[in-house]
Amino acid sequence: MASSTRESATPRRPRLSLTGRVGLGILAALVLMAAVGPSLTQDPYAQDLSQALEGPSTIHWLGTDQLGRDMLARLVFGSRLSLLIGLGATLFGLALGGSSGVLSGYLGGAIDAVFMRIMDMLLTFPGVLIALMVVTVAGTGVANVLLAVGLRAVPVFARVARASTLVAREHDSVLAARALGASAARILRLHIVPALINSLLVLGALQVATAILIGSTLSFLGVGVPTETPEWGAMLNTGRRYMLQQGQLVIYPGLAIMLTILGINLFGDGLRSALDPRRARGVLLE
Amino acid sequence: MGALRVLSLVLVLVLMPALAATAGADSLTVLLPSEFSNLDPVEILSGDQTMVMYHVYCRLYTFNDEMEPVPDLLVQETLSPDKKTWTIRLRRGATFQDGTPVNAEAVKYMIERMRKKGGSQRVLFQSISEIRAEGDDTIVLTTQKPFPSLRNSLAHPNAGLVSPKADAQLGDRYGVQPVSCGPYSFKEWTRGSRIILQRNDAYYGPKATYDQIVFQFVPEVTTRLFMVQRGQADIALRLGPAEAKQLEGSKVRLLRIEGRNIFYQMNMALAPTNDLRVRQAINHAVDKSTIIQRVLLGAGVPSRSVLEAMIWGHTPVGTYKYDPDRARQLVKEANATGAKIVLISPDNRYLLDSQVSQAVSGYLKAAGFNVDLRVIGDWAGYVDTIKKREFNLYMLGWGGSTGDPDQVLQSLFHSKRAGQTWNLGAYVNKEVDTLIEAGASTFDDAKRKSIYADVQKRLFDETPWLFMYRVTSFTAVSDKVKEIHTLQGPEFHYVFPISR
Repeated sequence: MASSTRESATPRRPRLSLTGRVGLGILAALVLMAAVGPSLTQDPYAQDLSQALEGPSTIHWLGTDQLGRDMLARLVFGSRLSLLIGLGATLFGLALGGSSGVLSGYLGGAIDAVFMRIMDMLLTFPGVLIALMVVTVAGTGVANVLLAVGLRAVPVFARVARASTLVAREHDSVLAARALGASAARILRLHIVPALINSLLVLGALQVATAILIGSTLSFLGVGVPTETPEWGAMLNTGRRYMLQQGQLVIYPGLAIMLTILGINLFGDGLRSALDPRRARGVLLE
Repeated sequence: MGALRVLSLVLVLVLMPALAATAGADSLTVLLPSEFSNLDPVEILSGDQTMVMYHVYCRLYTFNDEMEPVPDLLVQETLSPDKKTWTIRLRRGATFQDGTPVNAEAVKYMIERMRKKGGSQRVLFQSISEIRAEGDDTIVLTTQKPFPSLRNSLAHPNAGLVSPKADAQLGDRYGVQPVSCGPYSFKEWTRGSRIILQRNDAYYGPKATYDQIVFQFVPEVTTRLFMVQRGQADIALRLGPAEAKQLEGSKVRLLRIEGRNIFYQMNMALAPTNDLRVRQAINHAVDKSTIIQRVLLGAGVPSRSVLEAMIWGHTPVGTYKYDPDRARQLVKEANATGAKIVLISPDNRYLLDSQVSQAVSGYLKAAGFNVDLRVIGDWAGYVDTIKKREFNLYMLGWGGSTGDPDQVLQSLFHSKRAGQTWNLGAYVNKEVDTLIEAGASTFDDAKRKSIYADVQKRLFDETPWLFMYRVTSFTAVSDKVKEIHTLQGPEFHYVFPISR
């Protein structure tokens, strides 16, 4: 159709696709739930054994778990933890991995060679395994889960940041700035980093999903958050033993994880399409 | 079409022997929930280890279905008038699985080996002062004081005879390649996967039913259930009540094991549990019946004494009623409101253990304590942590592996073991010590019973434990298995007939 080849002098504003907007909606709901939810629900730690493993009722909208705790409250509190781990670990990975990748790519030479070999080696390990190794050494608990999941993300960001840096380094604007005697710090700040933002943003959005999943996996394996903490992966783990009595113990946390990952991925994909430089000028160079 | 048929036929013929080799009609597959590090009888590692050892090792006595010791390798036992010297004559012709003879020297070897290398099970033979082998088939044991439990000690699964030749040859590797004189020989062990035993055709007792027994390690309870349902295994241990429900109405039988006493040992040397009022408060604060109903889904019976029903001399002393108001009052009286309590729990060792601990922690919080709950997933790590003794309560299960009270009381309450396994709570009471020793050294059953009743009452009053329950577990048995025995105390099964 004509619209896909129409040229325009001014760049169009990036538009988020429909699926991207659905994803954004899901995420907005999640953030709202995590922010406001905990003050509206019951105490997720309050046990009442006489009400254990009950189905949905007027008091407990999503029923209770094996110790009589309110499922809805635990899901809502769990969202806070998942967001914390997902965002926190990703920001950590972005900061550490992104900056080291940029430096490595810009400086080049032996530093770059050694650094990238290390990153490559780390990338051959499955993410869960790296996270597992960290908690084995550092111990369990929320802070250590954040550290473990964050460290896992570092090589991912490092790689992308470095690759983009290598490209950006050769831009005319950079060569010109160098010729004019600009310092490396100035070049990095004004020319390199801005060129990376889009790709790192998209990567970051998608990595939040992976971070949430790996954090939940650690708790599922019993090496994540402390025992009574409401966390979706941990709830899946204990819910398994009672699955035959009350399926909701695994269905709800499973759904929660699934919807969250789905939302992030839809949004991330939409973001990637919207920020795609080939689209920004209204022309699909394909 | 024709070619396809021929191909299928060839495929079936080729695969059949492969299928037969893994689980033929004469092979039994048993699913065990947890693996262990060795099959050396000097230390009890777990009930699963005991079950495998029971099929490989032979002993002087064995247990009948009522957990009474009956002669096995021995043909005659004579007790001296002062009841301190036992003259035991062995049956002739019994051999170890490596062909060497089972004689008096081998019995002496076993006892001395246990005393030298044994861990907590050293208590079995600690009262023996002299061991003498007279000829090939007579062994004379002398005890310091009369010790009626000696038969139980010699019947204990850890009293298995070890081939001296194999032990000398294998040294440290003996534990993973045991050689004894039981109905099955050890064949192979694939770590993380399974142990295979093979019928011992030179066994002195009745011929064992199966050519081989495969003990497979399957930690996931739902998987054990599915494997038995689908016929991939014949016996599956430690199924919970939810799994047992799934088997109702099927061809698979369910055996109930009224198992070990589950309790929390309290630290008598650390505040606030060093205060009797606090310990009583803790016992009143926890609603054990509701925990049994709701968390264990009914798979338990409230505990009424430190010695439960599977142990001779059991006296049902009583239970601490669930009384949260009384608990809070006692806590106030002891000035312990807000006091910190460290509760250490294992995970996946006993049925729904970490769930029960969470429930207990909730009740203790309601009583006014500040509870720090620590759940430790691996058993070895758990034992290491509690040995550091920085707990107020830790969870433990104790069965009746000898059927006799002496082993339980010595290991858990005698001051000799204060601060060590398994009296880590450092319970010390000299009067109780004297009673335990008195009970161990009299042959008069009535007198023993009354001594033990006294001990149980005192222990109940002093509450060194948060008493909980006896946990019921289920074993699924396929209809292929015709003969299976259950030892309730030690909580395992064996599939061969005892020799007499």
